[in-house]
Amino acid sequence: MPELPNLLRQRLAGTKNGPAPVQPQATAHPDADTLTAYVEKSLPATERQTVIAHLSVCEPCREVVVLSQSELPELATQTVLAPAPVSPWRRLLRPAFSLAASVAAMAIIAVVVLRLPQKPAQQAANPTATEAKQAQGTPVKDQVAVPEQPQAAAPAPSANIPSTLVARSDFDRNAKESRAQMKREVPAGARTAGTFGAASSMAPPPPPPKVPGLTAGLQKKDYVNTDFFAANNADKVVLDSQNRNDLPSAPQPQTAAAGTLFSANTKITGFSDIPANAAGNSNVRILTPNPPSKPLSYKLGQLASATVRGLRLHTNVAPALRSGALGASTMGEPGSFSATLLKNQTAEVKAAPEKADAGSLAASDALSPGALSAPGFRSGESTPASWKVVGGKLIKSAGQSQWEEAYPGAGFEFSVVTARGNDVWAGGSHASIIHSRDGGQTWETVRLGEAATGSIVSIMAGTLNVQVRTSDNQLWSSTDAGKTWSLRGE
Amino acid sequence: MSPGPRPAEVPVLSLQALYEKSGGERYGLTLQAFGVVLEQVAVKYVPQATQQQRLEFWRDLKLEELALARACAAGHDAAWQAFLTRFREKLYDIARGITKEDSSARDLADSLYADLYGTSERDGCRVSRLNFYMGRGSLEGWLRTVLAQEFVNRYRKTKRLVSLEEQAEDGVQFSAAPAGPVSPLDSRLGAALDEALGQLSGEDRLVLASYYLDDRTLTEIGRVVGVHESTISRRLEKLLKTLRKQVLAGLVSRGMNRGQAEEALEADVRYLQVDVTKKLQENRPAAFQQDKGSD
Repeated sequence: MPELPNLLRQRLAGTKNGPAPVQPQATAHPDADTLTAYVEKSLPATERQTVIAHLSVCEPCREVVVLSQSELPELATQTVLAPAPVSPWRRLLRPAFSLAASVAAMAIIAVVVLRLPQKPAQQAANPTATEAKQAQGTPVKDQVAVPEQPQAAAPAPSANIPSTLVARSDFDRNAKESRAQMKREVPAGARTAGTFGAASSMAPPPPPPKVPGLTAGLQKKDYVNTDFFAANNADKVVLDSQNRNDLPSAPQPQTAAAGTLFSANTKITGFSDIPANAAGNSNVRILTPNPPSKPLSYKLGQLASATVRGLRLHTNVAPALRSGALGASTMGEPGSFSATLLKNQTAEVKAAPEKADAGSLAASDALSPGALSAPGFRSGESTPASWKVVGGKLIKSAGQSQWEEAYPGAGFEFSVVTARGNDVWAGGSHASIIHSRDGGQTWETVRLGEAATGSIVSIMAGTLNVQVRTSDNQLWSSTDAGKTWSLRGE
Repeated sequence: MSPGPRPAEVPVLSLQALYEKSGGERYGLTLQAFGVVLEQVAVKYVPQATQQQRLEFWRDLKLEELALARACAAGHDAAWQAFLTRFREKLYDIARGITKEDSSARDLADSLYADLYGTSERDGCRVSRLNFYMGRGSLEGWLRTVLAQEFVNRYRKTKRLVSLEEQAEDGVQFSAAPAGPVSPLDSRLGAALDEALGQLSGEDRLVLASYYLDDRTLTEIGRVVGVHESTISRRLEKLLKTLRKQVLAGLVSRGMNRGQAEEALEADVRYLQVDVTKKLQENRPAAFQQDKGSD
């Protein structure tokens, strides 16, 4: 009914032709005190009704009352003295608890989802591990099916896989899978030469029994060290028809001492670490079945196992890799398995003898005393000797806890020594200085000059420039590694 | 300070208690002067009350602020120091809240300060507007109300001074031809509506006037009446339904049938001859002049 409000406006405001009947008799305006008391609701009821009756007909007073209202007074007076009690069930509905519950539920779901795909992978890895355990005493035969090359799918003599190339039993499960058991493509009529141990003795391998293909267990990129098979030339291992004529000559097996070439601190990187561009090298064949997607937990396990693997030595594989070759790898990092390594390793390759306790670092030849003393042993580089002067004597320590006098029979007392690699300078009383260029094995006496007096208190030696200060505050310098000296000042 | 009744009429013990409660001694207000003030308040608001009723009335007053205001009006420095400390900035804030503009707020507050200090004299005494504070409400609320009254007075004075340009824009220069005779609205409709409005309570009329005449929001009306805005909304709806029923009943009682009554309600309200502006101005004379000492 839109018409009634319009009529109301007309009648409430009054008419032109006279006072509006609805307008009560205009009373006197309430004073400011009364209006204030009305606004503050402190007026008695009767007086309040009087004010309201006036306000209903007096527009200026209504406006005053509206303007004199304080700005949101209720907001300024609200004070929370104590939180209202909340029932325990209502606490469960709080946002923080709901958020925590959601996160916990998501975590549980994530764990369940991540673990489900891992179980088949574990089941696929278990047979391999079993075979690896069996390979401790018996070589494992492997038949490889290569999807890319149809001829490999044909019934062919299986490759005799060295047990040492299979994941070791002392590796954890993830390490076994991440090692990605080596697959070998064996064309028809070709067969491998048995174990590497057998290769060293050139003994004919036993007839390879057929083993169910391991391609089902392929988890990573597989690389084939074709040189290994080329090395067994007598076994006529042909790996690639294109490179058949390019195979290098077989590496010469070395003596047992060759096994010591493996460095104790050399990291054997798993095949999974081989870069993809290694496929361009003719000596490396990469069989790359599409790896199944791994759950995150599985990849984390691989990472952990790779770290553990870096700390261990695979002694049966290690002798085949020369530490120097590893250090000179094109991968730029020692231990990286590269094409350069494979090409240059012919002289150093030596099949490791089959050991029943293979895998034990202590039993490995790599840590034998001979290996440690071998020239190519990287970690065998002598640490710089420590030099010091004690009781007027010059003593040195070659990295061990035993100290020995480096210059016995000196006719003076040493006071200072300075060593820079094998370049050692020592000085003492009577301005005596000796110099060694070979770490103290041979010494030469240095004469500063006739004017030199006092004891040597400091020697600063560079490659050619040497400065010596004596206790008499003489500064002697040489620019030709001590051959000639000049007194700079006192 | 204007002369008041004799303080001897107030019981001494009660007066002493009220005086101590007011703390007027701090501002240099004597007990006798305070008794005069209380008697003045009682004469104005409860002239017919008994002594006991007066005591109860005085206890409800804002005695501390009343003593402060009257001490300021008497010119005590300590009282003015306390007053300025408490209300100086607040007065500017209140004025800014009323005018919604800074410069005019300053102007408004400064003019009130002058009135509070008392720039005029009567009988050799300075007339301060604080003498009109009776303590029924808080001193801050009283200052707010006085500022609002001053603002409304100024606003209305300003609105009456319309420039010639504005008059030209409004078409005064080319005034329209006098309206021809219009068919008068049925007088029975006006009578029925007036009768219905007359039956409403003062608060209902206040709600209707604030909503339909002043275009106040439901929140503003709620604050004036002292209820929630949703209550005002429901009350408005209910009032309209009631009014319609009563108007229809009034029209029927005045000889119309139901159909004619419905048709009369749909009449064009332009036929109602009203001049709202004039009517509002008629209500204005002598507005808020009492507190300025003109009484």
